[in-house]
Amino acid sequence: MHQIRDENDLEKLSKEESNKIRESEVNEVISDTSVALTVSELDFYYGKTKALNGINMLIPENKVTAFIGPSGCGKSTLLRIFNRMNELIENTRVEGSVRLKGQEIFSPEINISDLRQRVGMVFQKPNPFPKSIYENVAYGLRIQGINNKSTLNVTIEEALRGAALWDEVKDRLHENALSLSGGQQQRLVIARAIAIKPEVLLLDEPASALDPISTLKIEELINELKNSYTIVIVTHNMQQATRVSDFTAFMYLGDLIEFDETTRLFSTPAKKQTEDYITGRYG
Amino acid sequence: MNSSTHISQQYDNELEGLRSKVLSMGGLVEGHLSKVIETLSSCDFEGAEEVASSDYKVNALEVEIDRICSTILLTRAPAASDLRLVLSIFKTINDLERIGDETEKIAKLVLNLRKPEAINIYYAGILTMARTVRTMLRDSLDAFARTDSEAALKIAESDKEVDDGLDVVMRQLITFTLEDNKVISSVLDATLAARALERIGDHNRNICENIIYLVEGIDIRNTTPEQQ
Repeated sequence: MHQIRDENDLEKLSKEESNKIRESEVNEVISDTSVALTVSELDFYYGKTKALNGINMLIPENKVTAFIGPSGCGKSTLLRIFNRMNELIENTRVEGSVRLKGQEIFSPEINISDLRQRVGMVFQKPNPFPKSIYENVAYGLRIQGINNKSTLNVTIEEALRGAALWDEVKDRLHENALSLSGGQQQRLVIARAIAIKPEVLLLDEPASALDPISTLKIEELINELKNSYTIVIVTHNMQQATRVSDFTAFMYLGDLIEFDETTRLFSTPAKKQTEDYITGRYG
Repeated sequence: MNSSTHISQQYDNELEGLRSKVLSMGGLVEGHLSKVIETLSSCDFEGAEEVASSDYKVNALEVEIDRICSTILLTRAPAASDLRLVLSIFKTINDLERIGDETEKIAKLVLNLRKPEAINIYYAGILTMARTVRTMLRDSLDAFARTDSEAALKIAESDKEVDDGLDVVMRQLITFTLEDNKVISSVLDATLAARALERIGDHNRNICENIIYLVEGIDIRNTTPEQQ
């Protein structure tokens, strides 16, 4: 945090930070919803480059929250921090706090595998393992030590149904997952993620590599999944953000500029930067 | 309102074109109203005749602007102030078209009567109402062009003057029928004209509410002045 020495500093600080969301403001938007993730004064550095500037936000539970903003604004970085995927990149540093249901995710007591089980992630390009459809979904369960055939069968069917893929693959569960279409592979990856029953599902541009029909299926799926999971989605497609999300966060150059209900943010944004971005006034 | 330009110059041009089309439509409707006022004040029926035969121009503009709005919604998926602009224009042109219809109705009623001395008597109060309504319409179009929500709010509130004007005119007209029941048919026509002006005031109020939505993003329909 900044050290304030005199009035000039205070004025400078208020100018600098006037665009950002402060810790005291984060509660207002989601007042009547319970919170899955609490982000406080979060900074992130790639080497010496600061990629996130004191982010304060609450991710509401069992809702879809979309992160939008131009490339390089830090939205994917923030998403990856939620299950500490950022630690896979060398020479990076996090300051501040992220709490999952009140529990600090950077705390030494947290087991990182447990965390990633509670906070699942799906990427832009579908990345099924070169194994059968069945084994792809079974993977996380087997790691947990679940090898009982009937338990696996039940859980895998449930996950595939949950990912709206069951009817398309139920007769070919033992075929190679790479034989599926791109859209099916992405739903398979979602099934793999939900098989281990995470609390939060992070989706990093889950539909940007898919055709329009597969995209609609993923969007439909997101809408169903939010009944059971808290979903955070990064998307470049603003129409997609308006269709799938309940809340939207607009980020710019490492700052969280605005966070609001999606319909309000897209019809009457409070900040000019948000307005300029969503109306296509700069990119 | 957002004054900076879009990355797409073409999009800027489309929105600008849309805005100026709405202003032309407003100008045309205001012109019709002025011609009716001219007829009422000078008893030269040419203006009213022109209005009665050219309302189709207003309708054609409504259809054209409607089509432009649909195309922009389809191709640009506008957001924020752009979305509010298209939505408020969608509604405003409907009100302008209705103002055109009501003006045409008054023109036809006046042409029906065609007696200068009767017009001078029965339409005196209506002429005052018509001038108030025209000023309101002109100011609303100005407020739209300047995206001035404060002005729009003031104009919306002044609709009450038109409503009060209607009460006064109705009382006058009733007095005429009490004095001489042979004038009932002419006076009935005059009440319809007064009623049409009151409706124009209401549509004008709607236009002002659309401007407030466009600029501020808030919907003040069906609220009390205190809530506004």
